[in-house]
Amino acid sequence: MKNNYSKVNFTIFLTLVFYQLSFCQVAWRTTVETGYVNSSADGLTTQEDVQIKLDGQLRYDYKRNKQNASFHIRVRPEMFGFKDQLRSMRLKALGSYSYDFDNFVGGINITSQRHIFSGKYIEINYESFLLLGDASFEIFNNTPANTSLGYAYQSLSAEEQALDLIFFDTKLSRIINSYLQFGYGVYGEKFVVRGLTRMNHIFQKDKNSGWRFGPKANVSYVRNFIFNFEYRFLLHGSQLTAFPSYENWLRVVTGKIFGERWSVFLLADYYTRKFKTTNLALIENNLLYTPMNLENRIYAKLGYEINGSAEIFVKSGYFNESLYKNNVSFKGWNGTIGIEVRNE
Amino acid sequence: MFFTIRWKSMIYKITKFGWLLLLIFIIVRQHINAQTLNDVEKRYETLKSNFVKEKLILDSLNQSLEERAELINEEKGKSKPDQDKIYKLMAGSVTISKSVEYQQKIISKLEKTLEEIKQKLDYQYTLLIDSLKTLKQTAPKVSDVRDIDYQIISYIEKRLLVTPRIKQLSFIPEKILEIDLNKTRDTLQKNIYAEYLTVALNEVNNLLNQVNETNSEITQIITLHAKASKFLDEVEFETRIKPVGTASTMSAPTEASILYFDEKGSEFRSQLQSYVSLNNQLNFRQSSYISTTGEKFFKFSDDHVSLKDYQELLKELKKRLSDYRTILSDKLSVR
Repeated sequence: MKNNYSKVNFTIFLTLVFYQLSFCQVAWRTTVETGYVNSSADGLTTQEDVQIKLDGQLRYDYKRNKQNASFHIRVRPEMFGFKDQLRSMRLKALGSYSYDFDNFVGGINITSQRHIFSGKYIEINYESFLLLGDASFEIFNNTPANTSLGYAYQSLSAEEQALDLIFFDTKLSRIINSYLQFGYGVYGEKFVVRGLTRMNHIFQKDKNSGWRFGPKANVSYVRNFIFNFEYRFLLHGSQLTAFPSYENWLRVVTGKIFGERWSVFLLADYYTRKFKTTNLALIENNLLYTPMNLENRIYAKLGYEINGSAEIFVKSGYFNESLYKNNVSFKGWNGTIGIEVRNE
Repeated sequence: MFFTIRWKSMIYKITKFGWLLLLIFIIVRQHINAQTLNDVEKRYETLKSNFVKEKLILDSLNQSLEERAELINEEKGKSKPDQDKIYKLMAGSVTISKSVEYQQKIISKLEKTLEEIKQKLDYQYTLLIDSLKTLKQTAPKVSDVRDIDYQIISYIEKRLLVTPRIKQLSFIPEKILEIDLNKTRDTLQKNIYAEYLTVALNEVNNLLNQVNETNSEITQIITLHAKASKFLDEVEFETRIKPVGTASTMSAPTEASILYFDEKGSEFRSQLQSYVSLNNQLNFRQSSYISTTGEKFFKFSDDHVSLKDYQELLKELKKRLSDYRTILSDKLSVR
């Protein structure tokens, strides 16, 4: 009896402490989504089935004078159909801190992400980690600049492949007017891909190191609607590629709010690459590069705000991702309907 | 086992006393807040009177400094200036000049303290007004509602007095507060005052409409950015990792959080300048504003402003203008 009383008291005590100290700084968001998915990837997943997704996010923000810090966790379980029992679980944790110096804002960001994809016949574990330092300042009048330096790691268990990279990213923005901006900059990266290669039916550990470097540009407009266009051209050099090897990536994001409650958004990503290779045997064994985040896709979302803390939406998308094996692609489309409830 | 029992016992004690302490803390804090309003008001009045006195001393010092400067110039202008006299006058001027500097420091310190107290008062009046408005909704009698209304108006008047004057307005807010049509017996004077109040009310209404319009545009931009970022985040999280190099420690990409002005001068800059001028009375100093809760929420430079800060500025401006509208409407209602 005494123990029960203690537990109840302890809970009330903690609730009151958190209410007094930090209630206002905590935000959460949860989403339930269901729909239809059609995909194909050489037997990796089913062709057509029902898709059910849950998404939960919790965010803690700390803001005081010139300091900003935040911690964000996200969990997203998904289920694809009933026949093959395909399940997916995505987890993400992010922590960031920034300080507003008089002449610039500097900060550090740590992101860790994990994706477990499992079914009757497959088990894929995808992990990534990102450590980033960045600064935002003004070089000339009306020319804000952003620069970042970081380390990233990502691994894919199914193929026992891992990628390490150090990168820098810098951008200057030209202010055309309050609504329109033009940005330009450079991106550079030094990478190492590690994995198993097969020579004469024998597996062995191997690696391929290289770099990517090139210019980038963007245009962004926002007033009655939002429009963002980004383009990046990267030259690619590695032990397995010869000059000229390159990649193109472009992105368009646009959206509009109708009335007070309706909104529509569209995203289009387009990615192409042309690699002139030097060692075909190794390429077949997956050490070329792993641009796992770069895919061709079109996504659209139509949302309706029920009130300040809930939204119902319809989403649909087409994706076509070129996997590390040049001749394999994962593609399909989906359409879902969902509801989001938040306290932000 | 022993450890588990001790641990549970400790939790029991901590929660028992901690619970009580927390409850006491909340009650005492509310009590202190309520009690200090009178003290703060008294302190404000004392400091204001000190400020006037110190300002008079400074004016007098400046005047004697000017007189000495004139005497020095006069002496220098003579065909045969008395160097000894000039030297003595200059030596005296140095002493006065040091006193002026010292006096200016005292005044700056007083000004700073006064500003802080004004903000405290503003905050406390706002809390009281909000509480009274809530209370009004549950008041059982019409007479109670009338009493509460009277108190609300009285605190709004007090709050306006601790906020500096709106320079852009053609009327003088303090004068508006002094006008009482009930006490005016002369019909002509009453009509003139009523006309003055009506013009002032129209001006405030026009300004409020402008502020609302700008606010809705800024809110739309912020919402568009927030929704677009969320949409992008959803798609990227749904597919694969966020593209390397696009993550940022800033809460949103630069373009999303800052409103920049072009070199020629944008519509927003001229609007902002006009609002900043209008908001000088709201303690918006040259580059930043310290809110009543102690948090800095407004910061702008010549070429950019944070969208969130701009929205906060407009929100604050709306609140102040609404206060003037309430007072003006109330004064006109007795005609």
